Amino acid sequence: MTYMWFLAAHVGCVLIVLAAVLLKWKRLKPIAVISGSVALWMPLMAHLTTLGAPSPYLPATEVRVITSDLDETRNILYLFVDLLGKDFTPRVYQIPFDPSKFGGLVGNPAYLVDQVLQFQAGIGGTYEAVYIDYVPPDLLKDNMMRGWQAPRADD
Amino acid sequence: MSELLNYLIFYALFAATIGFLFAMLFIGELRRWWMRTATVGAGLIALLMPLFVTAKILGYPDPWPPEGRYEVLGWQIAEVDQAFFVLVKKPGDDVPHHYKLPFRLDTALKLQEAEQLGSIFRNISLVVTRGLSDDLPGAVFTFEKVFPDE
Repeated sequence: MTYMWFLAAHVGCVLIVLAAVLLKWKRLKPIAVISGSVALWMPLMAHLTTLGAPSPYLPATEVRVITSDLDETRNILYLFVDLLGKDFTPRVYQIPFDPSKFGGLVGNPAYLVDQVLQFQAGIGGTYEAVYIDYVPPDLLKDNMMRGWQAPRADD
Repeated sequence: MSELLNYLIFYALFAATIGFLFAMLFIGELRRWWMRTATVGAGLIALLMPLFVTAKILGYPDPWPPEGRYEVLGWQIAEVDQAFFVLVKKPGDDVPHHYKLPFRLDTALKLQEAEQLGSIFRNISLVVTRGLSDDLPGAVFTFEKVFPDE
């Protein structure tokens, strides 16, 4: 969560610059210059520390789950997913999940491999997994592209 | 490559808004209403744009994994990108991390075998060491079988 500190520093620095511009306090000017110079670097530092960390913003679209890991003490499910055609780089997400439903999700090994799911906001702030009957486009006539790599209309 | 280009465009816009605020700090011509509106607008863009981009960047792989030993939870072999995308966890850590590692054919074949015959492996671990350069970390996968004699 180091990136949160960098983002907080960024917000603080930009607010100081904005206050100096709008309020025109002369004493604030040198502080605003330093704050602006610091603010230029804060997003870069924040973004470098976010790399590799799980995102809490799981898209509402279908995803192919490559693997998953459940933190039973905090009721958090970590998902390593392919976004099915958005791009070819997998992502890692974290979502609040009821551990009692995790057995159904991973009990059959077949679910773990290339399983296409959609996670929807459920009751009590946790997510519900919805299995998708996904037909890869390469099984359709005149389409030679691999199923999960096919671009969608909104790509 | 397009992701890097998008990021460069974002950073250029962000730097431009900070530059505009600096200019207004020293010129300070805020009597006209549209200048005040533009300044507040630039301030809001400088404030919110990095937060929005951070939300988009979260979950992407880190191409510079720190040295250490990890338990491998999952992987994706990207032969076209010449990379392995791995989800790993350090012993004692609660949160797994997503790393991008340089591609090696022998490792790819071994990972493919592990994917097909998952149940014969008890544990797959990864040791990341300092490589020839920062962009090419050394990565050694260890495949521990349930029955070592097989």
